[in-house]
Amino acid sequence: MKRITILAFTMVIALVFSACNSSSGTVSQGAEAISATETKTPQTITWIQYQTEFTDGVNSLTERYMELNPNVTINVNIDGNNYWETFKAMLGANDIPEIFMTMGYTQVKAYNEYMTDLSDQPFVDGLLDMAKPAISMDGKVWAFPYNISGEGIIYNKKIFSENGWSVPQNSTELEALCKEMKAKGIVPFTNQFKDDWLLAQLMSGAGHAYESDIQAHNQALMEGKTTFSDSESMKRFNDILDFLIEYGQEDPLSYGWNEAASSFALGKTAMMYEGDWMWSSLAAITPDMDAGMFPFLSSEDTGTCKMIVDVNGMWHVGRDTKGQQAALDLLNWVYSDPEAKEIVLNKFLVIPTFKGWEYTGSNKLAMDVVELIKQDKTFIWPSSQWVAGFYPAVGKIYQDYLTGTISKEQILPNLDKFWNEMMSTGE
Amino acid sequence: MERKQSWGYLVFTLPLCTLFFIFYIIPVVNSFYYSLFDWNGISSKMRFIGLTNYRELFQDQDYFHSLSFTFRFAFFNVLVVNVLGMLMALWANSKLRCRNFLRASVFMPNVLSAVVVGFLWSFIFIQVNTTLYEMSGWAVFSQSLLSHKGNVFWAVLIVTGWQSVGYCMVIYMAGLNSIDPSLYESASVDGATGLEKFYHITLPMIMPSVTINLFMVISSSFRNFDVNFSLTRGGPGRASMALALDIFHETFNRNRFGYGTAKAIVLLLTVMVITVLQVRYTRGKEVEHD
Repeated sequence: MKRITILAFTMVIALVFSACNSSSGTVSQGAEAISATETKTPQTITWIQYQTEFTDGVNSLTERYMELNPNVTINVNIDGNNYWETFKAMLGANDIPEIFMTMGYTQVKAYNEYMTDLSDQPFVDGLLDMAKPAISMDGKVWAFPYNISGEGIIYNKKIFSENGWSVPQNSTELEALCKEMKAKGIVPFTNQFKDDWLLAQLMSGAGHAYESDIQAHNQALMEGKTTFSDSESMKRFNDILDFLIEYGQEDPLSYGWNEAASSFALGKTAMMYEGDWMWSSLAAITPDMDAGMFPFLSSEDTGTCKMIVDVNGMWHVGRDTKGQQAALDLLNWVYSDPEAKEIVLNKFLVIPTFKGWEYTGSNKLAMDVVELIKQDKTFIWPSSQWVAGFYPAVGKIYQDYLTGTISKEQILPNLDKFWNEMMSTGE
Repeated sequence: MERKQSWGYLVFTLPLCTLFFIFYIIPVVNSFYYSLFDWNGISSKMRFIGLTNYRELFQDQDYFHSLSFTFRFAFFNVLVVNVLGMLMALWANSKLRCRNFLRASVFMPNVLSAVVVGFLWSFIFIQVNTTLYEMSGWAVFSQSLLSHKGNVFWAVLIVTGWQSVGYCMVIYMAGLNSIDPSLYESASVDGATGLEKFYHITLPMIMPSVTINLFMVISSSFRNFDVNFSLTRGGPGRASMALALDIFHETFNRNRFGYGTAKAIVLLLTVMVITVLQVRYTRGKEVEHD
């Protein structure tokens, strides 16, 4: 009897160990290569990405490509929550994926030793000019951008039309509009200030973006030639923050993504500062949501007021990986093949990065962003150019101001202090 | 005969010891190694800087804020969870008809995932609190628990306590059930009151349970991460940034692997020292059953 128990125990333990070997809980799509009637050598591409909203699109692209090229196997790993940890672990194990994602600018620099130079690839000529800064470094192209996003003020068209209001064009008109709203008992803004990343984005879109040359300013900050405390637009942003608090809802520090989305979608406020990606949350709450977007107006001069719009998703090819050429062929196919273009436009539903490609989705916010791109009323995205490690600290500094831990005068010196701290840590 | 037996013990514990060595000892030693470098976790270049990370640690104001937050949190958490756990155990052990339901409902929060708990309590603290205040007008509901830096400590305490009480209760119940009822009978014969019975019989006899509970709650309080993360993310600002969350923020968000690992090593040593002292003290107070 005792022997049987011990035997049973050993088997259970053996089973547990074999179960532990199976893949972790991420969406993983392994595909078998169709029987090779081809004489080409079999190739494997490992593709890792976040942005789970494109799961369907990526799978459609890879399945179609594998049908056309039976010798290629593409292993797709779409991980919304642990992408960076998984990716860094793969790099640490010297298992560089063939295709991976970043947000561009400083991340292109940080991970550059793992990227292939794509400047000579055919797709580069088809790119929109505004898509090039995020993917370039030292005059070379390092990524295939596929998605553009904008961030600004989302407004409720229904509330605007009911009250006969038109979209303001500069900061003076915005202030007047907010005063009118408050007089009528409508709360102007939903402030999503529980999320510190939103405060960082707000600072970048309403303050930092209004520097006359963002890339030069960031470069000067990195070289120590200027500071945030010297910047007029950053000082102005402190006043803008007070303005938003005054004309915003009660208790902004309790409002994270979900609370802000419900507050705006249920018509409790007329406007909110967010990106066009917010549309899916808004439409889920109010299916017949009628909203649009305009830039955050930080200047009295209409001509200067622009929205931050930039590449929000790009694919890099791993350097010196076994499937490197196959990955390059795949990306060029996505650009050149009409079927692939169909998939990108209709399944990804992104604002396209190539000349002549039209936006086909139902995201009303994205439609306004496309208009702004056509009118050339866009800034490049400042926050992706900040030194690594600065982005998470920024929002928390502004939250400290909002809770009264630090005073208004201490905000910019604190920003400078953190910037210098992040600059001095190793590369 | 005895030598054969001890070989047998060694063979059977060897798999576990190997696993413990590979997955616990080696990573800890490796962590200490990484804490001597300046590394951003991405590039393959690491710069050796010796003990500079530790020197920076002792001058970091934010770290001391996290340290004081975590110590205060651990103190109150241990107190609240153990006292409430003990009361719940006494209550659930009594002759009430609904005691099975009581046990199940007090233990249930323990099986919920931290993300669900954080989301649930965010909703309660924000939406439910506001509605209750509008309906009743009581001042206790007017405080916003998650957006004031003074109140967010109590929010994290309430939620973590709510989750942990069930576990403590179960351990105390097991301890209570192991006490010989004849002790209580003889005490009644001698004329002892309920409170005297508790203090002189129950408390000494469940000291092993107290040891276990104190150990577990202290070490988990210092390591508290998931509830903290899903409820407040360290906010507002850095007001509720407990040590484990601070380490996560440092290594993964601010890309300072060496410095973050140094913080982790210091946390490990702190928890080890405290729990060893605690176990020694309470072990000494245990009374042997006859």
